[in-house]
Amino acid sequence: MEPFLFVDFSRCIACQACWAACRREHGGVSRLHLLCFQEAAVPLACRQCRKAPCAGFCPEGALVQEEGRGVKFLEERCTHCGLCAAACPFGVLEIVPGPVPDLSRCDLCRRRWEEGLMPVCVLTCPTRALSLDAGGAVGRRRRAQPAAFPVS
Amino acid sequence: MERILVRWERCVGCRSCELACRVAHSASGDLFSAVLERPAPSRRIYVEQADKTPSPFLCRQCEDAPCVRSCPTRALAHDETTGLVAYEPARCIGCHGCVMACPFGMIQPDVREGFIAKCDRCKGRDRPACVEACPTHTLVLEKDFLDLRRKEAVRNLVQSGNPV
Amino acid sequence: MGKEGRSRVRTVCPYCAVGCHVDLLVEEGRAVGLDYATDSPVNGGNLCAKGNAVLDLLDHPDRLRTPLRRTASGWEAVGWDEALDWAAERIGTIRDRHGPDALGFLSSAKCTNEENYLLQKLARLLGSNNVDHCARLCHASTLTGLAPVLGMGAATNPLHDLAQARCLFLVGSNPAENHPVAFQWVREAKDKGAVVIVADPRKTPTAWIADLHLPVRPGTDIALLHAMLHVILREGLEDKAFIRSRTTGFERTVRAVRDTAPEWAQSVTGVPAGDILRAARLFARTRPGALIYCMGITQHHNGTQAVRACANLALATGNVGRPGSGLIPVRGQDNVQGACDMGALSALLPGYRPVADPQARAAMEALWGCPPGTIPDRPGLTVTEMEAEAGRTLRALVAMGENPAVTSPAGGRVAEGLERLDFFLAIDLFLTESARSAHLVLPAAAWAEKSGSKTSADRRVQWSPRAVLPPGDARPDAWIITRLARRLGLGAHFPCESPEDVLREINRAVPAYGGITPERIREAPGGIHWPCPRQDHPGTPVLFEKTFATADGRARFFPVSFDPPPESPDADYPLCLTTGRVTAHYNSGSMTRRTPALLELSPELFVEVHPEDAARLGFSEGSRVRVVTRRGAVEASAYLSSAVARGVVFAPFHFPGTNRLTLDVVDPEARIPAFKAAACRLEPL
Repeated sequence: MEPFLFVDFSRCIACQACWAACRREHGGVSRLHLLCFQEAAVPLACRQCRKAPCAGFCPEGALVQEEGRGVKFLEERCTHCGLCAAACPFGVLEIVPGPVPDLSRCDLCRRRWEEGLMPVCVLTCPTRALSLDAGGAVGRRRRAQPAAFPVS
Repeated sequence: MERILVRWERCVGCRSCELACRVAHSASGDLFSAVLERPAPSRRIYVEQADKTPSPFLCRQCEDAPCVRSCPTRALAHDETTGLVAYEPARCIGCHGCVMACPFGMIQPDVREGFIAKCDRCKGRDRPACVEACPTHTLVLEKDFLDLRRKEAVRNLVQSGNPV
Repeated sequence: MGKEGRSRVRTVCPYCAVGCHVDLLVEEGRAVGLDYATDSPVNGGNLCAKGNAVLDLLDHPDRLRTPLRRTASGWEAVGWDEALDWAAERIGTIRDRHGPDALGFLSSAKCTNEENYLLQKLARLLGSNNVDHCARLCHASTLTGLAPVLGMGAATNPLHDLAQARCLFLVGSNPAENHPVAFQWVREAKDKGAVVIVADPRKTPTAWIADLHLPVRPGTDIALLHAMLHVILREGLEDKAFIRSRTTGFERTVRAVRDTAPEWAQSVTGVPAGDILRAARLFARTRPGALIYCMGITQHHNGTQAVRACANLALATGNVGRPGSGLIPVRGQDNVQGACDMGALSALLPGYRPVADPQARAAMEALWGCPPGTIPDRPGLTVTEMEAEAGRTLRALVAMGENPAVTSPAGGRVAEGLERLDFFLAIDLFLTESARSAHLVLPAAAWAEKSGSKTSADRRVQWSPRAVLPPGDARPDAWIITRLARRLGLGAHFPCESPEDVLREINRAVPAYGGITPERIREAPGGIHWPCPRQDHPGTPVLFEKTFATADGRARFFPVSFDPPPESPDADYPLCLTTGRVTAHYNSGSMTRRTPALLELSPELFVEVHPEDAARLGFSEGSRVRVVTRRGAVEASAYLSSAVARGVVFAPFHFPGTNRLTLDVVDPEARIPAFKAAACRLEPL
């Protein structure tokens, strides 16, 4: 199965390392946003939905749902209309204005990934709040946490 | 609906429940065909090492469930009549929010029906497959759990050799 | 190695004291990228936000590229020869006219061991002990506090050892924001079921995972620690065998805490007595336990005493000298431990030998080949004293990588003092707030542009090799100091041309570094923990496993008394101002406030205020407010958060305003300023 970015927000300490790493890797615009709420912080990035609203709304076919995987972005078709950003329930798609507007969206560092390297946010995170999950490894880890046990 | 309770101290880690769960959630519903199905049928119950003994873990059907709260499309909702957290595949966009939200790791991505695998307490079956399959009666229904507890307590008391 | 012509060089991050490895991707002498050192035994590739933004420091447009001399019409670029000749002439003249005590040298925790060693050597060969550095402003109280207790003022256990602890007590320490990479070991301990107790006036991200958070009023930590010790002794939870066999002076400490019951402490600290009771029982019963403290303990008028109160608690519970336990002062800067080890302190020679000790002076004079009596026998001026004397008895100042106009208390007065100097030489990466007052500014090389060794918070000495070329005409600090020394007629004592040569001299000067040769640390993937006295010694990750470094080998309890902060909130200044770091910035901000990514995260000075205090004063989130103390006033944006206790105002110290507000009172022993508690009021604008 194609992986997605697993966020274990109970481990996040709001250190912004993922944000800074993403910004660095992607030319000064982070595709990941770290938000605090009460006593927790959550890095928000594209969830690689399997039936993604953004792809459903895109009138140009620039965002294409791949069967059993996330969404593929075909840059040459994009007209930067912004419908995808409006459709995304998580607010993690963004049209970045500029001389050449750009769609900012996490692609799990696909370029690195094809070279066999992990996404930068996963590598930099000091508390393992971010991981790339494909085979349920993180679920296993969570089930192994002391909190999951009925008695200690 | 009666909940499934776990008498974790009885578990021997045989994983019969996992197997029964896979078969119950396969297309064919029988073991020999299920092993050949692709994609492989998923399980919704997990035998893990709890402290030093193995123990099965399954969805607790929380009343105020983190997975339900995290779902942007209400594909997961608490069903008042059954008391279960019900999954509606047609509404699901596969965003993995519930996978991240469950504190117990009981929801996993899946590719068969909808995008997640989560205990549905064996829809359409009177007794869930895992309960039926458990040879040590670690997994029991709520009513049986109390019955068995009482019987056990009486047996312990009698066997303690208390003079009459 | 991947792409052709590209090499990968492992350097040590220039920010905090965790000592993380950062791999630079280098092409033709320029850094073209950064990668994560996933096989590093230090950080496993993890970096914090600042570590991810380090590349912005190299080739930054604001970097100094040539020596600059101040003239009536502005800055004038000059050549190295002219600049160094002039600097040597001015320093020499001032020394001849006013004596060596008119010279001051600010060394730097941001420079390598070799550079700190050379600068203090230069100062002492010129006949002055006026050499000090910013440890004075962060962990000076750790040195003065722990040296007589344990015989050595350094972290007893390595940071990764925290993962072995069963109980973690963090007091005045916020690693989640300030040392995020080190926080992974706190998290790992917690994953394994450890108990985490956090004492902090704010509910910081560190406190998010705490089992118990004690919101202590700023400046009252001693009362809290005493009350905990009181409970431990009252309930007989102390480690009697450890106290008997490995410590002395316990009786007097017992007397000192006889009357410090939790009920009393509740009235002083604001922490409920029940929570103090619980914290004491948890810490005493759950062993091994580590006590981690930072500037919330040290930066007080009684910092030395507070450090000893921490030590008393750790010693009473037997939590020193065992894996997973320890007293862990987490240092702030990449080489603040090393700069102290190298003797860049006004009263201590390399290896912490006091300048007042004639044998120590004689040994150093013999090593340096200078006539007996060269090193003065009286301690010199500390950072704060040099700043106070600037333009008075102190006529010339050399500041290497320090920015006192922002980092020192009563910052406005420091800036005025710098203006009064006859000669002020600044060596820095950027034209900082302080360097603007200089007569001569020399461009220095940044971390990856020079080689050298650095010592992280847990005494881990690592080699950071040169990876790229400095911009323009910038030069390594060691090169600058050596050239300056030669022009001052001290060439015979400064024969070393490379950092490796200097480290070989350090091997002979500092016993704990005896076996840390350049050849060894260049090869050691995770560096070497000092003390490492011999070539064949493996280093010492955990200190004091058998004996303490005191004369009799036993740790000493020091009775401590509590006195309230010198400035308490009153009718005119009803709130308590406390300062600290934010995750995006670093110290005076001369580096991070020039980094676009970090500036985007935290662009300006803000104050964190409890929503109830804000409502009472009539302002809301994002309002501009004036923060007023008896020293001065600055404007800031208000950030409302119930994470900060009622009546407390938090301000980060990375922006020029904050230290115009802080209290100009120092701890009598450590001479550390009381940054952490001042009375203030807020005025909505």
